[in-house]
Amino acid sequence: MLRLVQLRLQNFGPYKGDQVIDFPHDDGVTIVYGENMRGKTSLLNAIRYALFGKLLGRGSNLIPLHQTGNWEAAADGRFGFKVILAFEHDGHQYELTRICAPRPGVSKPESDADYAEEALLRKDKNVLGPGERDDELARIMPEQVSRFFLFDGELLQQYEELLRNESEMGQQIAQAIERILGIPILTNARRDLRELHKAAQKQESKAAQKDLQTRELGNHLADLTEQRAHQEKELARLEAAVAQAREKKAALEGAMRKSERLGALLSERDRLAKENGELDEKIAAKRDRLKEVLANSWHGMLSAKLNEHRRAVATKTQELEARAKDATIAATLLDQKTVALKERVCPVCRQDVSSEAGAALVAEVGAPNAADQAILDQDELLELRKEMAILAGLDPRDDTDLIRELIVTMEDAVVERATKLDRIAEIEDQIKGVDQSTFYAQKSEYEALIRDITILEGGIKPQRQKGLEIDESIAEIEKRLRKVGGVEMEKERQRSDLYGKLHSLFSDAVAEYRERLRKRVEADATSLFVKLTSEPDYKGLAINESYGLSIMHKDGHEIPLRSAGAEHVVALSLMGALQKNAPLRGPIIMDSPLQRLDDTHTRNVVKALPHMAQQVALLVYESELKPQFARELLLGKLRAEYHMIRRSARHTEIEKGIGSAA
Amino acid sequence: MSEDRKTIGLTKRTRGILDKIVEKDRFKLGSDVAKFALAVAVNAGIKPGDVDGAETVWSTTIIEPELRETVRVLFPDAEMPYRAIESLINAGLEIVGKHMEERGDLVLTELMPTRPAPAK
Repeated sequence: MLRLVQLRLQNFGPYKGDQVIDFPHDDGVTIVYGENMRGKTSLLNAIRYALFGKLLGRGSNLIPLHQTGNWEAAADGRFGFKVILAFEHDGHQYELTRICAPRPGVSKPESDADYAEEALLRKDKNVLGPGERDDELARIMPEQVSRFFLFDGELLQQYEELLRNESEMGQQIAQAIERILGIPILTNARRDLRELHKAAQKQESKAAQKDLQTRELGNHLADLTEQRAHQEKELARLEAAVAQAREKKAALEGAMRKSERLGALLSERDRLAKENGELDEKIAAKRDRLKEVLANSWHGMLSAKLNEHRRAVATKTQELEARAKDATIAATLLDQKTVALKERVCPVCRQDVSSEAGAALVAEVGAPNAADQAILDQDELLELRKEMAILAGLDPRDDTDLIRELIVTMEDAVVERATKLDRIAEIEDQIKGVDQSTFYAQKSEYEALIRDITILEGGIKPQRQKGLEIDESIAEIEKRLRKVGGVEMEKERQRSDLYGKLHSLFSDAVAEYRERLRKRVEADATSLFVKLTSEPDYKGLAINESYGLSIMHKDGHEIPLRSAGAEHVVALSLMGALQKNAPLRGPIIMDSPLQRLDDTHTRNVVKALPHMAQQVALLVYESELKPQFARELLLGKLRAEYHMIRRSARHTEIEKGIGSAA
Repeated sequence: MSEDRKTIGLTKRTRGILDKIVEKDRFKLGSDVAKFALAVAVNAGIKPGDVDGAETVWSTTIIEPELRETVRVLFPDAEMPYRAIESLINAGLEIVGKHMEERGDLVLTELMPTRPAPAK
């Protein structure tokens, strides 16, 4: 097991001059307190740099060497940095030194090209050669599994990918998990046995070719083994191409994840711009329609006046028609009165008209009468009827409601467009100065990779099928050979059989071992999870094929959505389970893993830390974990406390805290 | 007795108002604005009168016979319909111009006659 002994930094990041952390030898927890921007992430990076020669920033991007040296030291003319990591492994003492210094002849470096890096590994005080050094380091702590030992909140977040089947990152993490669990030991053995089996079959075919009795079958077998070699070569080519494409895709996913926020903003901006384009078309169409309707708007606008006029004309007409009727009656009466006067006999009752009655009739007949008025009314009535005819001929169309509707729709669209334009301006402001072309290039490359992977995978399936068919044919030939083969043949056959059986055995073993490991990881992660979670209704975790862990409710249902805090608790449970089941063990160094957790979860996680690994180093800020609280929770398992002390914005010093046993 | 007009004219002031309305891009043609303005004037209760200083803008052919008949019917005392139309257009443009000054914009719906409330 790897155990850290001491970390010594020189002008690394904010750490000016020499700064040292001694890791206590006893099992337990070391806590390094530092507020934001004091250098917690730099400390994690210093260990990573010592072990793997890499400096990682946010989104797992490499940090330039030139930006890693202490700024104040550089201002004093001291460029570059040094990290010395002392550790123990399998009873040996190691001291690993990495130095990054300006190249000879460079007095003022300006970029990474101006630096030279050097690595030196002492094992029990003997300096190892470069090849031996790299092999030794890869054996003690392979970089591929470093994520389980050195991590921060961002890395913990990535374990959610294990629950997404399509995610490349998830697949890569799953591979790293299998690596730490030791599955490659078995899969490599299976692959070697396959190669040995194929070589034995080749030998078998050669032996058969030598014998006249079996020559034909031997030739056939040789052809088939040749065919299979070609098929496997092609399959390997396709698989390598898929792996390469997947690796690129994962790297892109990582890079795109970093720009996830930018991507979301750009997508929103593009969508809004597209919608505004559609709105522009809608507004233009409505505007055109409105113009058409407004050309005849006077119709509708005057319709009320015309109706009013129509009503007045109709009333007047009715009035005149009534008067005309009265005039007709009056004219008949006048005629009768005139006849009575003339004949002195009433034309209705045939009685004689007296002289008094005659005088009265004379007065009535001589007076102005309605008939005269009727003549005048007739002219007016004629005019009114003409006017009514004209009014009836006028188009009664009234588009004013349509105009109102068009205006309202158009104004709504204009307001909607303005709102979208405001949001676009807001987004533009947020992404001002951000390189959008890289994002679009990544997106397009990502889409191209997906297409490539689909095509390549489409080619792999028939190749595999072809391989199975060839294997079947080989098995058939071998069966026939066994019936007729001689002594020489028998020897080769036995060898081939042995390798074939061993290959099958290892194939079965891989599946069996994987399944058992998954169950063990699930059980150990569950055991840790129930200690960490504050929710009594959560009974445990369920593992999927990719080692993704889902929270299970006591009613047997899976919890579909979980908070960021819950994600961290699950990821920490997985970390602990992997540590427990991995043949390769080492210290866990965590950078701010508690910041998303509430007090109860923080308490549970801190209490569980000593059970997660034998050596744990926690890099936290004080409000994330109060020193007194940590001391109460960890008691004797808190082995050392360190504090990052600010000397200036670019100068931090590490001081051993009170109560440190180291 | 003088003859009716063969053209429709606008005063310098109403011409300016018309141009401002056209700039708003609500109407396809200036003559559409003129007819809208005429309707605005009629609804405002304006009676046809004389226009001083009008300069020719359109031929009377922009006025559909139906509109001419409508004006004639609504204003039987106006012996010369095109003169009446010209005066109503100018008066209507004055109203629209004032509306634009007050509202800072052209709000067509406010210039259109209000709908009587539906009978209960």
